[in-house]
Amino acid sequence: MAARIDPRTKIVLVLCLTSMVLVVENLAFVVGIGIISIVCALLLGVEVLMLIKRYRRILILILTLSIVQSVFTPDTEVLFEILGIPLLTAKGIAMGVKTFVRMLVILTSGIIMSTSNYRETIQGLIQWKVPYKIAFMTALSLRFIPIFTEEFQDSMVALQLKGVDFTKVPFGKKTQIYVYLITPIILSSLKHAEEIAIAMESRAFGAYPNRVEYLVLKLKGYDYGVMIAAFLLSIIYVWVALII
Amino acid sequence: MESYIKLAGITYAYPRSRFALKNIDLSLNRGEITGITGENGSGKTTLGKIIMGILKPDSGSIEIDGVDGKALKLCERGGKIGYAFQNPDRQLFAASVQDEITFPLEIKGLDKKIAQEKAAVLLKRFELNHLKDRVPMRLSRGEKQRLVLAATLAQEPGFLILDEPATGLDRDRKKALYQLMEELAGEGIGLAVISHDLQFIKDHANRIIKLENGEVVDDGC
Repeated sequence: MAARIDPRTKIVLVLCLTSMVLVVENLAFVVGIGIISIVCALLLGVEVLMLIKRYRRILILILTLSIVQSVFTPDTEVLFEILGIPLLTAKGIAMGVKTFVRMLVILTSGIIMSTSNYRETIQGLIQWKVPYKIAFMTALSLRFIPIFTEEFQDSMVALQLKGVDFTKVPFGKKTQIYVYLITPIILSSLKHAEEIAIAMESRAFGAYPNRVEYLVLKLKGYDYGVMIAAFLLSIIYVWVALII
Repeated sequence: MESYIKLAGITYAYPRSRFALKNIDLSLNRGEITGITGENGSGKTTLGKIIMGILKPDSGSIEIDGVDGKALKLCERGGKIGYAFQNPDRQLFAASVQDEITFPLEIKGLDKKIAQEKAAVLLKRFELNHLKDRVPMRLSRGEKQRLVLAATLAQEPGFLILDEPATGLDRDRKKALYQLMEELAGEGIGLAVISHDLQFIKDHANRIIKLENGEVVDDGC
């Protein structure tokens, strides 16, 4: 059934997960959403262990950002300090964990959406009356996630071939390294966007106001079931998290 | 000639694919220009990636500068062998041409001023001085390749592997590249030039290795 689930159902699920993780502030509930997102990915047929391996580098980046977030969040309850300067606070650690889980949920949402053919995702959005151009752009951005991951890994290799040993780089310079790693990915994404725009123009994208569709999606009973359950359970979850 | 890289019985197959390299025994020397040629899919680039440690061989051993390849981390191999990818975009990171050369040196702890002096020499040598404040990604392909070479040489490697270095270069730039290769070989640096352009290899290499279906079919040494 996992493979047959309509992409619109997955969109609803992903929207529920990401909205919940942004609205909820209670640490335990945020962690709970992280676990739920992984369970959802597993139920939808994603091989999470294999993907965690693939996204290992990004997980390290998320972890680094979470630690930075943790260090720069002040609080009265200091857990660790150097020369009177508080480095780790209870609130900081909680913020770091929340940042980590939030980014993990966003990453998992991308993984869940990648289980659907991107053409089907576009079609799902169009049938929801989303303008075709916007639907197409959204689907393109999802399609590029694995490409950017691969480019990031290639950049890691290329940087090491410049003689840079990640294990020996001092912590202060590690952030600098990530800037160097992210720069080519941003520039390459701009280049990809430019090339795609030219390719689309050359194929007369948007030349006619109306489009006809060969592929038409139909929501099944279980799609409605999953969507309603996801929506209602999210509301209950957020409500419980806010009152506790 | 001093042997710098020794490969013995190297075999490699891509996952769920046919053999890319079969039982390769090779010795690559310093001060020599070795051309590695063959048809598309013959295993040229795979061989380069195996030497660099980007790909791990299924069997066989590699010795680099007298050290067992297994004992060398990717960054350590990068310090001994410079590698210029087929696509230079994959090797450009910094926001400026000068920074592209200096930042790995600074990360490794070299003094900023010394790194800049080193960069100035290389930028002059590769005729990139006037572009030193430009964004590397915005350079032409030929300029990018020169920048990658300059940044690679900043690591002072004993050997250089150039994957399709003549692609996208006009006649004058190819000539300049050849002169540079000669100069580097004269300085004692070994070069392996991977190219399917047999004429370029014939004209400029001291030794030609021909690969066919992952096997060395000719080693003109």
